[in-house]
Amino acid sequence: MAVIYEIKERRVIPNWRDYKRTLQLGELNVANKKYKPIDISIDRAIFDWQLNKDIGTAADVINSSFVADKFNQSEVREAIDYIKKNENKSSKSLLGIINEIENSGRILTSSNSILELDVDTIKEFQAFINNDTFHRVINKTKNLAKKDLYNPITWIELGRLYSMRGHIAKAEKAILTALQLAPNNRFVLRSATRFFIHEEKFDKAIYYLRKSNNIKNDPWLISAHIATSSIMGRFSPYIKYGKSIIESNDFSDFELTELLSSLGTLEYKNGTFKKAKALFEKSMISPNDNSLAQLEWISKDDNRFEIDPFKYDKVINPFEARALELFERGNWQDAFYNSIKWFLDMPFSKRPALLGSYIAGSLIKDKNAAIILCEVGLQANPHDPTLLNNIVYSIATSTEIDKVLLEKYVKRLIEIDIHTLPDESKITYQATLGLVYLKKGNLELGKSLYKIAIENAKRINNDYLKNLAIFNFTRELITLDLPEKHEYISMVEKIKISNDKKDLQVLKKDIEELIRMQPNKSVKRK
Amino acid sequence: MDVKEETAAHSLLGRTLKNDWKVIRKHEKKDGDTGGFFSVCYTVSKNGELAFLKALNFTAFFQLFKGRPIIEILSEQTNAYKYEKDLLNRCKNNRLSKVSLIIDEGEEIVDDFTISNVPYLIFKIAEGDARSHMNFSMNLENSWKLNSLHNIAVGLKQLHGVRIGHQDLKPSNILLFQDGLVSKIGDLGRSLCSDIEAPHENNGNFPGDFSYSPPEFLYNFIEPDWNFRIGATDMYLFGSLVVFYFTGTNMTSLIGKNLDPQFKWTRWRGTFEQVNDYLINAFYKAIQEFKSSIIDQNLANELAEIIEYSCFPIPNRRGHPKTLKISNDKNGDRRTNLNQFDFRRIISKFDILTKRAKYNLNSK
Repeated sequence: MAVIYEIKERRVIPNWRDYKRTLQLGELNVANKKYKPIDISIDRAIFDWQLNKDIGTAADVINSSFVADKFNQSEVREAIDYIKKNENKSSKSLLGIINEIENSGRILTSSNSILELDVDTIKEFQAFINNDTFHRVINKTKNLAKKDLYNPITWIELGRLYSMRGHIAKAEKAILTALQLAPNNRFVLRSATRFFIHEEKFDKAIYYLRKSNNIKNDPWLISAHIATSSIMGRFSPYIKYGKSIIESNDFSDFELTELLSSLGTLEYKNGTFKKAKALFEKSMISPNDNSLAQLEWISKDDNRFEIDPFKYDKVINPFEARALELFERGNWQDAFYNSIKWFLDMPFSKRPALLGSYIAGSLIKDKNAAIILCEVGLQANPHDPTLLNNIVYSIATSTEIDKVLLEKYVKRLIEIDIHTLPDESKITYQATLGLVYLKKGNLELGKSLYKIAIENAKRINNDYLKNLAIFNFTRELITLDLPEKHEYISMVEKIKISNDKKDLQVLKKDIEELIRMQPNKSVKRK
Repeated sequence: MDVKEETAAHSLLGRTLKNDWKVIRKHEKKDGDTGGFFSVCYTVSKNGELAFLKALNFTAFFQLFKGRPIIEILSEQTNAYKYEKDLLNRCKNNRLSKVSLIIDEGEEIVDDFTISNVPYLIFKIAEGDARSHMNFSMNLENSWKLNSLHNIAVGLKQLHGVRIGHQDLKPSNILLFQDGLVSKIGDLGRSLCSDIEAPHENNGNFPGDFSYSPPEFLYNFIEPDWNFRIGATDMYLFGSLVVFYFTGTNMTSLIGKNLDPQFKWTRWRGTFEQVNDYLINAFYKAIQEFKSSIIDQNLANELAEIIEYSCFPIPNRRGHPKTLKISNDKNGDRRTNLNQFDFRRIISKFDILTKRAKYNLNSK
């Protein structure tokens, strides 16, 4: 059976996007009120222009105006017009600066979706992930990194591309190079933190954060340190610096949103609801996608917290929060759409692939989409048991089973050492193998694996997994017309699904529909 | 606020000065300009030779900064004038061939004014500055551009040789002589000297025109080591001039163009260190953009190499890579006795490039 396998505890781990989009989100800006930007006079260049009107002096005015960010004087306009009239004596760069001056202050995008590529169909999505262009991009970035030797940002970009393809050793090498070049840079450190956490190398994440000169005064780094320490079950020594930064009033609400959310999560974990609520409320004054998703997750965990992510329409790339909220509301199509966007936003992350593939495979019955999502998720996470489980499930429940593909992934699934998995994953794994054996005709083994899965779910009191296993097993029993179907149909009929488990309601309805479609309409009961 | 032109310095037109210099034309030059002292400029002639005169205008300062004590103003302006004169005399005495030198100096008394003394400096007149000779379209006048840049590199090396850092190198301070064939560095008004304290020292802040400033000053970073700062600044300004010659944009503009607006010096509210890596990223893009402005890719690569080490946005990593390795020990600590900002290599490179362009030879 397929599962979402949601994380047990969400922390405010930095999201890792490409540089261009991170810039657009404003997470690298520093707006410390202590520092005042420079004011530059352009009088000398303007005066020279009044005396001499030639291309060199016009260029001088343009440079001065652009460097000083002062564009309103009529002489600047005159110089621009002069250069445009004498374009044959100008250069591409000079005309480019003129273009920058003329477009200054214009808002180029008002959308809250900034993706490397937006897609409308699952085929476009598949093309984006699989095409050869991706390899060319990696090669281009690799060459650029070698050429621009001191540019840490290119090394991080390269690390991200490798990470998306599951080339972890190469990704780590690139990230370590970036850290060597820029041990204090926020973009580098937050990207590296995300990478190390993804690879469960928490000590390394902590080591580089602590080594940074800015760890005591950068709210974005302190937040990352608190989140990483929390995963490790440790208490971050930088919490006190975080609190003092919040009290200093030197930073904007947006700069503090993740820090407030991280501290709120700690208070929530410690059971101090009131403090947690106050911190989360502050974090929502100017949230980003991460702090928004954090409160969305907390609100699913504890209904004393309430949030409607759709009210925060200024947040850019709010796909995680929206996908979770829409899933909760039972709006499968839009939840799926947001999962795809979430994945495109962070293609190395497995959570959007898991949620999207579950929705596609189990709820909107688009097995092909589910398979594609799992395949792309497996590129960055080739050994992830849940992704392997979900792809096997989706292939095995397709109308026309691709036996070669099924065999390929079953082989990889079987290679997983079941003893290393948590109980919930073991149950899922057993049920999925049960499905595979039933499909292969090994009925006894298939049935017994399903029964073991159901028993194990009962043993750990996980009603959700138990019901999921029962629904899946019953569907197969009906399809194969096996004698046990009556017992399980009766079991299904007795199951009551609470209103907050809309996915199970759908699965139950599917079984009931299947029962109604039985040839004799009424099913013989024991 | 405008300055009234009823001052002694504004009243030299038509007078014959000592050594028989006749003042024949007054220049429309704004009082103050970016020079060290407030000045009024004229064309003068003697025996058919034309020259350029720069007269100290005390009164302008009184008018612009009313309320400041007269002793303070007199002392400040006199110091600035004397400072520039001393530097120019040093250049003259050392016969610096690629620096615009004074050919005479003196003081004229103009009666009927509160301050009647007008000290002045006379320079060889230039045909114009580099801006008047510019064409930024691809591949045009490369030979002239390279020769001019060679002259300027020589001029900087000469200035450094007499312990002067120019600090205000920009197109308007490149003066042309001999039908444009010779370029010389002009205006030492904002220069700094290792053995004479400049009146505009300003706690180490950039003394030149901020439109051409190296990035570090724009983010209020001041390198504490005087020699290092002066060398790093002149080297950046030279590289930036190379960029201007070929694109019409200086390196500071080009970095700004490739920098996300949130990091630009006019908006950034953080430290220089915090913005370093974004500047480096923008700088590499700027280098690519520069290269694409030149059709001859061999020339583009050679110039880009010079610009890359001359204009590196972080002063510590500025300078020729070979000297950089020597100047920094294993731990990255600086060894100040070695000069990573020496122009020797740049001069010989421009010498080769100029000859190559002149004889239309392709590099291998």
